[in-house]
Amino acid sequence: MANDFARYREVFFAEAEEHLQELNEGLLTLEKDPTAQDAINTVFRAAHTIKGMAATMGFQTITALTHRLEDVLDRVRSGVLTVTPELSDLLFRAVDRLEEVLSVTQASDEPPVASLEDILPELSRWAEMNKVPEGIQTVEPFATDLSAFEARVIQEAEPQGFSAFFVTIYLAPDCVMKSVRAFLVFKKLEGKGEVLRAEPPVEDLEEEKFGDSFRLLVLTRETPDALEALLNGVSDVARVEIRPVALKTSAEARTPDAMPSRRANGKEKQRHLSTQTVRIDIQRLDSLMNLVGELVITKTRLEQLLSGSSSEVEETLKALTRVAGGLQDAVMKARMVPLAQVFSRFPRMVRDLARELGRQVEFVIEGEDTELDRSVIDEIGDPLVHLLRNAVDHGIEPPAVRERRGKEATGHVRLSACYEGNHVLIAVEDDGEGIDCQAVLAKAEERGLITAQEAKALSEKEIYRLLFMPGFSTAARITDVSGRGVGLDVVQSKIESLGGSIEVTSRPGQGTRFAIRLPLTLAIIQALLIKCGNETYALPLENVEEIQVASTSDLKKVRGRDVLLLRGEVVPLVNLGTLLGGETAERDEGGEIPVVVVRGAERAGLVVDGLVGQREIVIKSLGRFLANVPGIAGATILGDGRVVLILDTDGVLGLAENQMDRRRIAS
Amino acid sequence: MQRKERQLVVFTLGREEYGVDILQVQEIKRLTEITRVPNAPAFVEGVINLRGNIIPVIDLHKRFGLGAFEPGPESRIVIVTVHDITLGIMVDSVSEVLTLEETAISPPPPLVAGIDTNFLEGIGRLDDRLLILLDMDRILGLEEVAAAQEFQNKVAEAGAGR
Repeated sequence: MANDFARYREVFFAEAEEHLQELNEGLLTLEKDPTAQDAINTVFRAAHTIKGMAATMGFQTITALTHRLEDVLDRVRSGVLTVTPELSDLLFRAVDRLEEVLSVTQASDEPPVASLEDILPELSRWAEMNKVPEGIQTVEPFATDLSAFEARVIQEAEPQGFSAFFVTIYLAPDCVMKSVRAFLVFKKLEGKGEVLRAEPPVEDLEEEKFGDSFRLLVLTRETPDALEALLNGVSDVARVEIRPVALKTSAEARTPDAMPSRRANGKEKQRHLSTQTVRIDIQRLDSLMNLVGELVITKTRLEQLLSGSSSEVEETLKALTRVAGGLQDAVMKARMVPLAQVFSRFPRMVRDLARELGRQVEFVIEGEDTELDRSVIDEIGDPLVHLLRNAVDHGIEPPAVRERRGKEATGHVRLSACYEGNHVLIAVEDDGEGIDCQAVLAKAEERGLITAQEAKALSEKEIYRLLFMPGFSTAARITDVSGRGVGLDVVQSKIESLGGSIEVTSRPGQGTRFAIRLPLTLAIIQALLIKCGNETYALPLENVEEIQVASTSDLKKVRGRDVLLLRGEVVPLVNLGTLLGGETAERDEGGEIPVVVVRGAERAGLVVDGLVGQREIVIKSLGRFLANVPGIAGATILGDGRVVLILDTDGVLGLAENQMDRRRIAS
Repeated sequence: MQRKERQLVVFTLGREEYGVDILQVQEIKRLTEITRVPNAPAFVEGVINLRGNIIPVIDLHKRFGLGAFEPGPESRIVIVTVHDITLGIMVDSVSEVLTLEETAISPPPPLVAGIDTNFLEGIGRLDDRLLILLDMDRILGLEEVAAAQEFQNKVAEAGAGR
């Protein structure tokens, strides 16, 4: 029982978060266009749903807050209130408080209702504003237009003695189980005629997503009086309003007015979709992925064991390979999540930030339906927050400055995502100040990251790379927004830990663009297996540029360092065996040396003892205990059950660099 | 959570008998091929494949400074889980599972067989046998891991933005 409750709790918070998102998005739309009916409906429904769920869970504070919020939104919906900037701010504040309360409740216990004193009275004040005295309904919330289809049906039915009425049913305000009343109304009408349309749509009526009233378009042979008497017989029906439908001329009736029906269609589709999704704990997907990994490994082993068997065995193995591959794809797809999940919280953040900093920013999101592995999605949020904050804070200039520079007062920030082969490219662009290379250099010198000598020799690209060095900050002033907490170096290391890379390009005075490249999925990669002494290691194939077989005479020494001359280019060499401290095979003078040219942040040649071949491997973590071993990205299990370590290219090159430094100091 | 009795898995390292709480022990495995992890702490022998999971294996001989581990026919890997971290310990042999009264356990004396007593939880007495109870947290240096993590976080926080 307690367990069940815990599970419902989890579901509640997961769903509440989604509805919060809807609230935020809807309010943003309303802020731009206060008359956007869809957005009004969305936010109202979101608030209403959270209220209902919270009440079921017994969360009183959340219920109280969403109830007031719903009241205000209801006034907005019925047109009594319009979304002025003032109201919009209040609504945003209410949603923020709701988010806070939700997160506090999720972490421990629900705060008392009294903790909402800062917001509840204000919401109530708005809810009471312009309130229409009870009993006099001046607002007609329902459309009176007929769709072409309805008009035709009515027209055809009229000769047979049918007439059409708009029947508005007002339920008693204290009525419980409103959906049941609505159902009874339908039941009563069933024998007497046909309901052509319901507002709100029948699904909403069933789910009790309506206020105290709803309206039906009824085609019947009954008189209005008989109809009224019939419906007043349903308990809790306070009042019935019946209006005959005036059929317009046929020409007008034919005008395409499919809006209501199209909306109903859309709704049906949505409903359909929602029943076909299953919420699943990410851990279950992870374990499914692990099992599929095992399957792939076992399959590879079977293939090795049975190689050279009869053609029947081979056929079966091929079939197994196909099935395993299909399963792998399917599980992989199940783990894919659209970036919208992360992106959707940014418009709100950028808006708040721009306000806080006095910038005018138009924020555009593109490609939010691009999908990435769930594990990447979870991690990518923070780096993006940082880049977007940078764009608004450091990129976009204040409106006055922009105008002085002959730019539009409103700056543009664009967040986009798209597929690029096996990768996803996420870009954060702004049309602001751009990066001042001289300022970057001056800062780097001041911080002692480079010497004045070095500064002169740096290319533009290398200068940009300075931005990602630990302890670098060009923000002249420390604002509340950036210039504290994590720096770009942390952004970079996070993205690298996801197997991705980040690049920056900039044009002074015109803007900056950060491009993040991420692998579609992390779990299974192509790798090159190499030998180092008697040990085997895996190198991610995406870091491998080429494989060279060099003879000892190709090797040169430049400033005490082994290098390989490759088509006229000098490639520094790293002896992998020495670096990893294992045994290395004896090398004959003049013999052949396999060199794997890799490219991470730098280009280098890894001297290995042998090449085993290319394999598809399943990446496994070494666990928390060995999480930070330098140069090792993880491990994989080969077909024969052996564990092979996966090398982290940049980590290995970093290790080599350290070793060189140590040797230099020692000598 | 004080229990009156404790069940211990008893194993030997060199000539001494040691015990770990049975609740921490997942299983006992024969020696298998261990993949060395370069640049890992010295007492980490490597990693093994435990039914598809990668599990680090540590050498208590090295951790305790007891000389080199000599694999023999009785050698085993005891798989333990401490704080959600699963790992293997190489031992010379596993002898039995026994129940010890809580009262039979005394705090560690200052010096036991040359082992840093920081690694010990206590000494268990059973008839004329002495069992050394290990404090797995300390042995794994999990405190150090935690401290290092904290330090790293602080460094990250201290790093300024762009």
